[in-house]
Amino acid sequence: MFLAVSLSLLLNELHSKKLAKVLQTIFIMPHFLSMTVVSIVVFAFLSVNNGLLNNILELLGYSRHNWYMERKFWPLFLVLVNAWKHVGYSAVVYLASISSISEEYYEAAIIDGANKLQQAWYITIPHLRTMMTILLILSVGGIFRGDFGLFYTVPQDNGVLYPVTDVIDTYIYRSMRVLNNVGMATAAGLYQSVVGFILVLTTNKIVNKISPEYAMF
Amino acid sequence: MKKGFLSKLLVLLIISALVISGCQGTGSTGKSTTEETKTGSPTEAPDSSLEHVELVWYSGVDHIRPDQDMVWSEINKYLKERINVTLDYHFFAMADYADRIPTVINAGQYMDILFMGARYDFVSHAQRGAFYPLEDLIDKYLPKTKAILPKGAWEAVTVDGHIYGVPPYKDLADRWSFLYNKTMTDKYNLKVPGPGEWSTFWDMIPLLYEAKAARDADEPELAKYPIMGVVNVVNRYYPYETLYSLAVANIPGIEAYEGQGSGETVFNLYATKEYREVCKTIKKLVDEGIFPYDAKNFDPDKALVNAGKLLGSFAGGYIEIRPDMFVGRETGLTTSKLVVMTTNYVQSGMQSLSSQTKHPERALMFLELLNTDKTLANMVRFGLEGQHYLYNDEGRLDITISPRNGGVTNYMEYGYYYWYGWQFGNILAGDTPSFVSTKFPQLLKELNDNAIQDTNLGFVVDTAPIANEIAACANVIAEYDSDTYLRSGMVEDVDKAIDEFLAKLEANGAQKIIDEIQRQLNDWRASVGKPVKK
Amino acid sequence: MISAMLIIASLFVVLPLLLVVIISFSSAESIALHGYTFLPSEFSLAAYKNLMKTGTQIKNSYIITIFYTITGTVLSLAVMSMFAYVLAQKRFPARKGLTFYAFFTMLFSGGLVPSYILNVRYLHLDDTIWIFILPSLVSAYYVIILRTFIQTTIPDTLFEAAIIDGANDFTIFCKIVLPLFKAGLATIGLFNVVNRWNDWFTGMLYIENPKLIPLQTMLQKIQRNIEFIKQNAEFADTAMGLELLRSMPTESTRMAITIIAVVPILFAYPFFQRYFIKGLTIGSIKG
Repeated sequence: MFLAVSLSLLLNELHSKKLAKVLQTIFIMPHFLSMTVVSIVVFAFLSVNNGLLNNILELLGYSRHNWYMERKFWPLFLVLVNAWKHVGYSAVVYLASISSISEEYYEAAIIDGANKLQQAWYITIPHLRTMMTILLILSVGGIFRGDFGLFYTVPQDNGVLYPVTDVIDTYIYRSMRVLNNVGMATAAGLYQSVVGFILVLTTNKIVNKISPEYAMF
Repeated sequence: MKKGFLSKLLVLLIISALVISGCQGTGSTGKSTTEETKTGSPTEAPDSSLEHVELVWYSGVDHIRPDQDMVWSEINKYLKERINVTLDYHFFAMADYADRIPTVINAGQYMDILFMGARYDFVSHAQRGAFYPLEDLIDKYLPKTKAILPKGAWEAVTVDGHIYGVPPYKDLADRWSFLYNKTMTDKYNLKVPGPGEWSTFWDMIPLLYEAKAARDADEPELAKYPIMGVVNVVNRYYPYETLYSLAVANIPGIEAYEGQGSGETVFNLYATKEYREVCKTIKKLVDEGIFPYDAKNFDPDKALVNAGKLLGSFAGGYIEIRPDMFVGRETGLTTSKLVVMTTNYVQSGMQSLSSQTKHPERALMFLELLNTDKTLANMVRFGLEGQHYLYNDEGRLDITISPRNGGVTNYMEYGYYYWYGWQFGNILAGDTPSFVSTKFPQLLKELNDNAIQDTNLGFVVDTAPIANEIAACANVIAEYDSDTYLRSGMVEDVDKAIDEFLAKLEANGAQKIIDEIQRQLNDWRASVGKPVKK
Repeated sequence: MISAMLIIASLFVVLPLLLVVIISFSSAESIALHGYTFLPSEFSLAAYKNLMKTGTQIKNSYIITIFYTITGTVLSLAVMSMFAYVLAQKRFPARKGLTFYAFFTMLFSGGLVPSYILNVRYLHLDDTIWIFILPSLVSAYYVIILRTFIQTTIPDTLFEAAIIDGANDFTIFCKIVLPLFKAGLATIGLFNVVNRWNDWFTGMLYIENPKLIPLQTMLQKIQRNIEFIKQNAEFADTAMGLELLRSMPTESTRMAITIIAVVPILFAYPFFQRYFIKGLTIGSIKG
């Protein structure tokens, strides 16, 4: 989120409209890729024999790593992949809301002698606060439903990595494949829905408290 | 927010609908159909007296061929003439079939015949009543098929006393095969153990070292490459019979696992010292450059294989091979003296009838024809004469000189061709293609007849009492015992990893699984009159 | 300074994709010798030539995917915006109940098997183009966004005035709502296009006819088939498995298919960009 906000601040400062447009397009691009494609991209980096990362390490005189076997790196990899995929999109969302801030605030600030950083800190960020809170809370609603694609496709369903990549969805999916029991899978799905439902209702309540006009119902 | 009465009611309704469908899954899918009337016409009935029936057939094939519809419309014409049946066929490539078939079965989709196998959870589907029991119909509708198949094959597809599938006649027993680069072994004067002169992969390891030394001396730039792909199947080192998941038993006459009885004792494969030894050996072979590091992604484009720089591959189920299988070099084959028929191997592919079928008799008549009728078998496996195959000067069936299959170098590009596979019944019902020798049928028969059949063929575990333990252990097994972990040769400290593995298995109820399966095996062995563990 | 920083940051975003592009243009020998690099020793068009050779399936999938995406998006926008319009009307009594009804489907879904049963056994949508269009026609989440959008951008007084002037709902919808609604539609439209373009699961589960298989399903199938053969040792070890493995598309070909599958969606974005940002401000966040 920090990344996304700073990115949007920077983007907002760009004077060339054309460059801004091109960069926005570039940043948002990964958001539109399917997880299948993302997993292929990740594989191009991490493949043991051919991957770019290992090639670079070898060039620098380090030994090759088997990335798909080393648990400790995966939380970082998944965070990075997720950031790569979604930061641009969030930045554009923030950017959109920055552009709705009235110019007058900035003009007044400039008269008071505020520099760019101060403007960002005292005007832009407070304006974004509501939106940041809401984005955060909405993502809480989704926590219980892990991103199946991210956790299943990107680590290539690799058993070694389960301790760090397994989320409820992938666990259920695998259990279903092993036991092949539809009844159990449906029941697990329902259980998941109920918890998700409660989470979203709570989230909605909180949103309601913070700013009623954003609540869903 | 205030919910209206209506919405509360709605929530209730939908939840209850979900709960009901959640509870239904387990019990109600089948069973009832067993009582269905068996009023089929007797076998000697003339073709014209049978009313026309369209059978729905789901099957997995290795690759969907471009001329599939062209061939199958001819097959349908032929079948209509012979038994007044046409087929509504639904064929999928193997991986797609594996993805789709569980959903299709669980959704209760109407089918008459479906391709089944251990990897599609044959047993658990059978236990939940997905298939039509065949034992009462075989004598009447499959007499010739019954005569063709060895007795063990029927036992292997029996679940809880019912026969739920018709296995194909092909290699029904596992025999270790080593496919080697004969051009290379000739060039370096390497002595490959001949057919029947060796028993497991252990006997091949010295050869691998010799081959690597010879190749690297000849072509030093290849020194960093392995000599063959990884052999990571424990069975190839120490043969065993899988009962369920981690529970295995020794094969009588081989007893590869020391002190574990002779088939009557259930033990945890991963807790044996033999398993530990296999993992360590794989690591040693990887470390010493015999096997590739990260085998899963090694040489994905087969550049080294195609260039003939590797020694060969260790596999199963070969009868004979084409020496020109790989372009630019000669390929040799040597097979082990061990031949074992196990439930798992026989179950790898078969045709089952869905419990939904309204025409079990007609479906079996079709399968009987598929197993015995030469015209049908040739059409199904090789396509149409003149289009996809011709008979050569020696009278052998030849696909390479036909208009639609000739000149093809890539297996995927044949217009129509499925010779060797489980999907289409008796492999000897039709002609054998020109690229195998005329001795092929005899060799196949010897393989099946000489197999050790004194295993627990037909024993099926009832997983209900240990379902939770199995699910929990399955996740642990997937984590450790994978070809990307313990059996990859890439784990630094094998002992430590295995100890961790075993501790987790114990914590998840491995012993309970072993005890329960031992109990069930004792009951079963007593009922068929085999010696029971004391 | 700022633009320099941003350009560097954007490189980090682009490079991974560029790597895939470069691999798709690398020769097999170069990959075998040096692995994946940004500077392959030898460029080659072999992967794309391969694709061309076996190309009818890809061309088919391309056309059919574009068709699904466009038809599906247009129909779905039409239905959802009308639904949203109704939900936004304060004078509509069942508004709350209906909103909740829509919202409920967002959280509770029947799961795989029940939906399969419904789609195949009762609706008979399997192996038709409709399976790509009908079940995904209405997404509750987007309907609620659109509703919020109407509520926040169009004042109720405007509707009241129109009704006094004798306009019926359909005229109001066409003449007043739609013109003010472009940004919202473009935003939801883009999401719709992306989701439909990237959906591989529907094709995997319901489609048999090779003529109807969408691009992403095809890509996924190629990946799955390779994995399947590698993972099923008893299959990979047989003559058939070996021959199949031998004839699988090469790495660079797979990368080439990936590129082909990605390009259109990347070009679609600038097309929507004008409205997208505006739409996001008003709609999505306030959902």
